[in-house]
Amino acid sequence: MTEIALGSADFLREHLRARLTLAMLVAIPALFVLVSSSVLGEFAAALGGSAAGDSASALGAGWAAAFLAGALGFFQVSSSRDADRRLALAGMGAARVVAARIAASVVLGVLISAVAFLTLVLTAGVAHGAHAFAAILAFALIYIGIGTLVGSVISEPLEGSLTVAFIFLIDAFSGPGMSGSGGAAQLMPTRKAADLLIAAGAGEGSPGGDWLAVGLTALGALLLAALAFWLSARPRTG
Amino acid sequence: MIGRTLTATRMGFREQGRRPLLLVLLVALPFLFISWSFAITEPTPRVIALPGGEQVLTTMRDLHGAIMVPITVGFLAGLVGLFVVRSALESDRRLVLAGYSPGEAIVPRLAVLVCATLIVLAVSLAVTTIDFVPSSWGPFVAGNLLAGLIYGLIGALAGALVGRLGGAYLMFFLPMMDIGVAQNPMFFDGAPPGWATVLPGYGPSRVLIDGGFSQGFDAAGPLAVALLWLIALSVAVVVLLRRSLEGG
Repeated sequence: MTEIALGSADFLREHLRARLTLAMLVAIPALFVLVSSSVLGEFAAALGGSAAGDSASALGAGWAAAFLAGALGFFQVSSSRDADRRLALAGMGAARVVAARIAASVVLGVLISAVAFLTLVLTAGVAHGAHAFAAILAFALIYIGIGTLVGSVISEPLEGSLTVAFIFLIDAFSGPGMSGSGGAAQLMPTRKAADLLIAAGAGEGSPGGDWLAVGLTALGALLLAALAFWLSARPRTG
Repeated sequence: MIGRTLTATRMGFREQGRRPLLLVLLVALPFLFISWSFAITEPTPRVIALPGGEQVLTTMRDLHGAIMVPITVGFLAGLVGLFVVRSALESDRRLVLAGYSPGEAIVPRLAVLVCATLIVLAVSLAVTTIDFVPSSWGPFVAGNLLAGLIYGLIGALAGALVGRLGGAYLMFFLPMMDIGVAQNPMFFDGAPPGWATVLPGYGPSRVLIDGGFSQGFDAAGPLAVALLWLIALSVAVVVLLRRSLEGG
């Protein structure tokens, strides 16, 4: 357990030791929520969507957390492939490397989500604060899974970043409150999380089935991330 | 000297040619982003203000399609700039140690960046014309090209100063917030608010909006602003790369 905690702390330090990266992890969600909160309602209306006012602002916070977490997940895998294998071979073992990576990712996801949530509270206010934070965190966790999955398939940073951005934009623009309501939009990874966030922004509760669906999606994403980290760290012959 | 620069440029393009996924993404992403923007946007009426002060009636669909071009070009060029410079910082110091001057190492990297920007711009314009024909092609193309080059250079600066992860964050959100929100006539009162004029996307966006929706040309001021951004960023990138390569 201590080994996992130490490894996780080291992985966190690895990402946050560049002060500018840390500053951006804090500043970008805040700026994005601040700038987009005034226009997302108009944008949703242009796409024929229903998100308006505080619901649209809340959606912006989820988007900011999602993209940052996706990029983070991608770079965690793509930059750590060799190091993780060596760590595992040096005695830490693949399972503990994976647990430490997941713990570090979740901590970073919570940090990003907290910044996006606080900015949302300060700029637009949220009627259902706990619901909104949980939904924003779900956006981040789901995209940690997507980012790590992309990182396990694509190693080049440019191609990987573009792929994460592509998935994110399709997901965001076809989600609820924007253009999507049926067909392929139902299959988008953050669809249910967006439903929760929109409801929380409007001061409404959400059905238990939606919470269950979001919880299972986030859990599935973290399992995918664990698989991606394990593929990176697992011992290989030859 | 020119021969060595040409050789390094050829190698730079060959390096990119070995990455077929990159080429696929540079072609497919503009196609998907722009055609999709047209497809999902309602043709609701919208009055916008042109740079000369004239007001014109258009639709949200046309505006969204037109403004997606510089967002897409800026975003993709920015990411290419970011990672081309990261790659240059990792490997071009060896070229300088081997006898290349920093200038001979920098020119090929900038050539790759400009070429990638042109590819993305060409695809983006071709896709746009399926649904939207600008009133005046010259300013529309020039504005989009300037957006791509300016953001490509900002990406290059980010690559040298911020690192990969921070740079990727910056190059995704900056074009989105600048061109996609602040300069976007779909929002506010159909023209950028006062604070948006200090952002790098202001000049290019006003030039291309003028070209998109007016047959005359009233965007000389924004064009000059965009060219100043372009020159200042070019100088900054070259100075920074020279220092990095010489200091290595």
